[in-house]
Amino acid sequence: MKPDVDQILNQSAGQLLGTIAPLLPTGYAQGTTSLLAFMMLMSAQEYERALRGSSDKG
Amino acid sequence: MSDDLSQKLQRYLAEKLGASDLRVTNLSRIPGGASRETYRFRARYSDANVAKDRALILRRDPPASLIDTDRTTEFRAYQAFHRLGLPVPEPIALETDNSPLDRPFFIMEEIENCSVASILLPDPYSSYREKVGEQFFSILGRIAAADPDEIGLGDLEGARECCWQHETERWERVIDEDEREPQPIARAAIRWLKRNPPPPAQKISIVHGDYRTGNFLYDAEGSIRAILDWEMAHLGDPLEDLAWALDPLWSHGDSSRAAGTIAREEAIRVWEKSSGLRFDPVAFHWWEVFASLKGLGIWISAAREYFEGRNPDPVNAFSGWYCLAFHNNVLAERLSERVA
Repeated sequence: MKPDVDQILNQSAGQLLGTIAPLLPTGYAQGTTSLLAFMMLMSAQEYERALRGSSDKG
Repeated sequence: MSDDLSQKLQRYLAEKLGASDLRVTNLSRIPGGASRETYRFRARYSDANVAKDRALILRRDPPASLIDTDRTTEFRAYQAFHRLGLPVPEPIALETDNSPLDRPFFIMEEIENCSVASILLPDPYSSYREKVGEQFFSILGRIAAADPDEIGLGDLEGARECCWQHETERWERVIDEDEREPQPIARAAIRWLKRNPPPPAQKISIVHGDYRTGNFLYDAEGSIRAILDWEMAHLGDPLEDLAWALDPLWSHGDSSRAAGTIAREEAIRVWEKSSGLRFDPVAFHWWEVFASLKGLGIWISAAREYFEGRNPDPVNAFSGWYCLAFHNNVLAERLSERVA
């Protein structure tokens, strides 16, 4: 069974923020990784919103 | 990190400082906004037979920028305020020619062992909130109090008369040029700003242009060691900086705390004492609306840079998404309060 897109985004962001970013040297790499993770969380929210919108219409 | 950049930098600095034995090491990129690429490195050389080992920062123009800013302005602001004794890094060299490092750049001292707060953190200053806040607004007051002509910055961009109009039109042009879709809230704000001009500025000052949490370095004891990112410095009304510093985007999620530090009323009191200026609530209300409009201008430009692939730095995507939505909400609320 394929995982949901928002689940992948949410959990990947959690991994990046909680596990990967702290292992990176402080600086551009860590800051940018955290920012990318934050945008993955925002993307998951957008996906959920779009999904709700299409199911409301359907 | 690119060996090529390191070698070019080494050649440039060796010639600039007259130190043929100069070696550049540990060059690495660090966060520094999307308007400049920022790198830290060490320069080791001998000066009159004395071994030097300096921690330095390179700020190089990116292929495309969030907004068009002038590295000469930034460098001159560092020079002027460093001479004045404000906490800013010592500027070392400015290069406007493309040939040494492919793009213009400048070099300054690195302030080591310090932190920069991310705007996404809920309480970055923690037990140092009071100390950081008092310094932050006191330094802003000192910037406002400085005489632009006396410190050699009297020729910076900006207007001495009707600076409110000059700045509104400046950001209107940015939005005209960079919007990819209609911006009805920004347009409503521009109409409101033009129809309701503020009282004249009490004083024309150097406006830092991006004075906020995240643009200063503080040490482990909560002492502010450097005010950074002067690239948007210009002449104008000092309330412009105060309104920007107090904007809710920079409040770390608690709008009752100025820049995530002290209470707003306290911040204003500290600023008044340090600047010698009076806080005019009527004028300030105008500059609050302007601050959110300026934010929209910056974020709209960022979105454009990212969309067109000129600058893929994720901070541009974040600015064009989260920050743009945030300031649209703030501005809609502020306009509805003022029109009601």
